[in-house]
Amino acid sequence: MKTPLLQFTDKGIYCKQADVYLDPWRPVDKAIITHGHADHSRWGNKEYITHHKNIPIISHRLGEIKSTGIEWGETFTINNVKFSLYPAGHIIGSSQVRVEHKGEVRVFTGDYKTEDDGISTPYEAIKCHTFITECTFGLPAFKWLPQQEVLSDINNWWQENKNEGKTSILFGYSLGKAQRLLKYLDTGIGTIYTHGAIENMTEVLRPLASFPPTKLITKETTKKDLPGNIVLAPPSAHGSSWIRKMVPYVTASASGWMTFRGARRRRAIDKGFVLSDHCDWQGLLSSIEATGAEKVICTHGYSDIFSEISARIRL
Amino acid sequence: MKRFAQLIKTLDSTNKTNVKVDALTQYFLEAGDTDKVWTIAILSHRRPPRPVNTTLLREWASELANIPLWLFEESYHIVGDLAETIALVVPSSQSSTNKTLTLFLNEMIALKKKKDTDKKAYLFENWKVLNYYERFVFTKLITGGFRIGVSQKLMTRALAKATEIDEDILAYKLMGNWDPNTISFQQLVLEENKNDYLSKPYPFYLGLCFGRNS
Ligand SMILES: [Zn+2]
Repeated sequence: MKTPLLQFTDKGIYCKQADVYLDPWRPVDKAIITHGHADHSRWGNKEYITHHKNIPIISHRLGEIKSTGIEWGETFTINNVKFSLYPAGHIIGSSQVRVEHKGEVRVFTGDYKTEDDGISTPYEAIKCHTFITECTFGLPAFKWLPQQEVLSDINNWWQENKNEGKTSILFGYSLGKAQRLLKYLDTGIGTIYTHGAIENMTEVLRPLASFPPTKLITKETTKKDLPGNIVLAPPSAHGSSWIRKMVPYVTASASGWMTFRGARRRRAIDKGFVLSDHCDWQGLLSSIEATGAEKVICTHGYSDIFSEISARIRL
Repeated sequence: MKRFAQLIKTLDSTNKTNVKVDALTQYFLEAGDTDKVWTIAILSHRRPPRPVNTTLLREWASELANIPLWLFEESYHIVGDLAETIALVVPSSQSSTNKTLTLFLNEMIALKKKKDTDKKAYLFENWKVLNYYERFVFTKLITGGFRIGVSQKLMTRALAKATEIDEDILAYKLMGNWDPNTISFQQLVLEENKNDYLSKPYPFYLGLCFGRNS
């Protein structure tokens, strides 16, 4: 049997013909990186090939690395295998990887979402024979509302907290979610304060997109500065002494997991907003359909379940 | 029902006791009398018997959601709550209901005696028009057991705030056997009943004497 164009190995997805890995989780010589999240762009590879907008992000995270920036749709060939990157709509600079060899086309999505978030370049469906898709939220229970509705709920929540003289603390990952929230927060309500991790990452992204002004919380920030304003913080800050100084406050989290009533309570957060940078169930089904792929392989999340359903849809 | 669903949503979205008590108090000030009686009944585990068994609920929900039963079961396994799973997988609706909580419960009581085809039609009709939270509450009323962190004591405290009747007296009134179908809010809560005082054990009586002024 001939070696598949892309195979799953203990270092990650591997293209033997070109000797290149996609999002490897162990150090390799040549890595094509879909996006800047830590589980996709790891430390220690000799060479990083990625979309040029992702370079400042991974350089910020990984320090000095050897990297090559690629434009959407630009083809580069390694040992007769043609590679190109297409937007994944997940976060700024996030790509799908299209791999073509002797007429066979495989696409690896990395993380992606079908909704245009107004910040990252919107997802594009790419025709292929084999579609390797993430399916973090590959269950029919996951259905996203248009982001506009969720974001206006978030602003209303901020306003209500302000009316009660409280500080709003909103949790979101420091790369991606935090900026998506930041972009649409209503600065008419108050000042947007940030945790250091979010402030630093936002500084990296400011040349790539426009965001409202933020104020870093420092030792000089006093207790009376915060009430009525909002603080963007990474989930890891929840329950820390850094947060406890902000009393009186109300907490909220914005993530796909907030779909479940129990999730908010388990995390001891006051309010949950369902806002995800991944596809929901319909998004997955429609993108699979649009690729026209004969074979669908799922990674992440409830992948066994999703592999089964997508196989059945084909029938 | 709209108001009741809103109450459940508020109770559901906070861990703070005072926010829960305030939400319940507000509800008891605003809701209609029969709805209030049913709400007290539901929060004190006096819901009507389950009109549809859960096997049928699962089959019908997966049919309406247009997904195979095994995929519904997988979702249920992850979500952990049947009513919540159903509310999540059936197609979403932005509309809302004008029917009262009392009307829904009366329909559910009548539903128990009906044929399966009628039960299915009833569920489909409501699942299709109710919005997410109403659908969740509607299904929860059928499957039973609201676990939303509201103890009977907490509910009684809110009712006391809304009616200005002493909490201990209310606790006593709500004890024992009463049927939400036949009792009025007046009889259950408001009416002064000599028995409330006579048969009271001593500590309750003390509560009454001091409670009014404090
Ligand atoms: Zn990601």
